[in-house]
Amino acid sequence: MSTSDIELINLSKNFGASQIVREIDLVVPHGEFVSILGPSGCGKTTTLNMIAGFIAPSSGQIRIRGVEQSGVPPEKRQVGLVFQNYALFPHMTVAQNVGFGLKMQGKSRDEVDTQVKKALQSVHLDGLEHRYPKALSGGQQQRTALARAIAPRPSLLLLDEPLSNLDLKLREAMRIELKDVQRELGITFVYVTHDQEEAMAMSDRIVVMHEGVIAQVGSPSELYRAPQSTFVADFIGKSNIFAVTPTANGGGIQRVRIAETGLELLAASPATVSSEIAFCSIRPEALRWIEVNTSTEHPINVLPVKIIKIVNLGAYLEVWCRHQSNTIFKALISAARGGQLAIDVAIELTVEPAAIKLLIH
Amino acid sequence: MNRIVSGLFRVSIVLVMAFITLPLIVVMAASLSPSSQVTLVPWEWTVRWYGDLVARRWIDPFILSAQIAVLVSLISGVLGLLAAYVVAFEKCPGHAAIMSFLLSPLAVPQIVKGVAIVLFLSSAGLYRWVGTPGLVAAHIILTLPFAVRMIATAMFNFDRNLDRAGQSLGATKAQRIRHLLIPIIKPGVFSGMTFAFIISFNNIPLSVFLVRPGQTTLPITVINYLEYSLDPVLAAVNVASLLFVLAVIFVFEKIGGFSAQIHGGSK
Ligand SMILES: Nc1ncnc2c1ncn2[C@@H]1O[C@H](COP(=O)(O)OP(=O)(O)OP(=O)(O)O)[C@@H](O)[C@H]1O
Ligand SMILES: [Mg+2]
Repeated sequence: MSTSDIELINLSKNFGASQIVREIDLVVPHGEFVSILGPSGCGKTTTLNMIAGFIAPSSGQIRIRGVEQSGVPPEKRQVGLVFQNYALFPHMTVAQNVGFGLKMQGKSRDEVDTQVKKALQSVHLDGLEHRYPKALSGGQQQRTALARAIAPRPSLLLLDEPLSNLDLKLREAMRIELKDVQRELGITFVYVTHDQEEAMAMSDRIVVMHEGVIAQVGSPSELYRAPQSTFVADFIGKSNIFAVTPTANGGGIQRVRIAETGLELLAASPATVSSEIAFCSIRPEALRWIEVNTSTEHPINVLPVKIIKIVNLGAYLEVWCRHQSNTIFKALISAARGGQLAIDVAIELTVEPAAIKLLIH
Repeated sequence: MNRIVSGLFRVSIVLVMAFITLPLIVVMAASLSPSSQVTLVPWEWTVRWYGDLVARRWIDPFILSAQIAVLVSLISGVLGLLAAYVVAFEKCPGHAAIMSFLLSPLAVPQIVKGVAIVLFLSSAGLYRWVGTPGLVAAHIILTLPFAVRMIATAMFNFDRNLDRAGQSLGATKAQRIRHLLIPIIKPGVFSGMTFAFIISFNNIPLSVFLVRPGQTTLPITVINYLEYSLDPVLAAVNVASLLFVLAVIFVFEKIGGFSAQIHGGSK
């Protein structure tokens, strides 16, 4: 008996000539909250539908709880599903919706009632048993859909952008609730989203998808700290990304020149072969503003720049700065400190060599 | 500007409603007319023509028409449901062509259909079918396209994610049809059946070829009577059958809840 709930082995899906999902490999251990994150059209829903059994893979294998699933219809897979538009049964009350799965399994009335009550409690919906879906708010419909999916106690739940129809406040509250439900019930969640904040907030692990392939898999902090491609660096959080050419390497330092400018940066030497380096990525918060004569140290990577734009993000200012080489750097500066900053003011930025990620693609 | 538009809108609604209801009001007034000439004298009303309706010459055709209409409606509902399921839900191979074929009788004038059916029955040696079985069969040919159309529309509108949700909850196909598809498209089925009922109950052009002497449907009886006399009893017959049809619509609506669908929503 394998302890992984899902194994995708070399999974591909073509629609006609276009290859929508390409040779995906993924193992999801039981109890994990894994997100599939990627821009619209990258094949997230297609992948989820293959796991649920609604779409047959073109090639490759899907194993659920260790069992190969080809030829197993969706109703036999014991995989819960939460839809973006909830797909609540309009002619049934909340309680009937939630009890549907158990009733179809032929459970006794008493058992259905207890399980329904439990499921409704775990999503904080008690008291609305007899409402019809139409008479529920978006958030309540969302909870009903979740309760309906967990009531039959599947070991595995697939969720396809379940929060995308909710407003921001509710979405943020539901993130926490979803995570709590997942932890309490110990169910494996495969959560599809194109919202990186959502994925970062909830997931144990994130699978970043890009044009049908897995770009990178890792914990939220791994993906943030060590993106392996410009796509991931850009998609997870914000990044200053530049095309660079490596110039010199020595003493644990890799020098790179930002293409078509004279600007040279010193980065911590990466494990990759230096000649393959083609890009660098710098997080906005890694760009430090040197307030005048703070110390006698001689920082490296000093960037004399001019402010061209300031975007107020509340606690932080996103300060757009132009270097004389015409390179634009976006720096994140605490609003408390950035009081004197204004457009056209000349400042100096600096960045630690270790905070510059060198990338091949 | 907006007020003028909305004023015009109201006026036109009133006109349309008047256009629809005035003939009915005239018929109702005529049915209460005291003389055997149809007159419209509102201060001398009588209900004696309604008393005449109890006679067998009107009751028997009414019962026959009602029986045929109920049968036609039920059979159209069942056949329409099966056809629409295969064509609109399962989308069997060639479903678009099959759908057009099922709707094609709509394109043939009823008189032509009537002649064709009689010719078919006599050349196939089935002339003894003329009468009630022939009427039921012929009416179904007429009503089935309507029933299929309405039920298929309901099936097209059925959110397939509901079926998928049912599937992910472990419901078999039979369970999903019984607990999800049928209850949700029920209004469409009942509106199709209501149409079938009304079309059958009022039909003249097909029935004219298929009634047996001494066993005629209500509309044919009315037509026959009209050849000899035009007295207010006809108006009374019409009012009575109108009330009957309204009652049937009301009952279907109560069971099927289709006005909810027509007005864009279900309970
Ligand atoms: N049945 C189909 N036939 C042909 N192409 C399809 C089909 N289903 C999906 N596609 C294509 O596959 C690609 C991926 O679709 P998918 O729904 O998996 O994207 P997604 O990552 O879920 O996007 P979104 O975030 O917008 O939901 C899209 O380009 C889509 O047009
Ligand atoms: Mg999708």
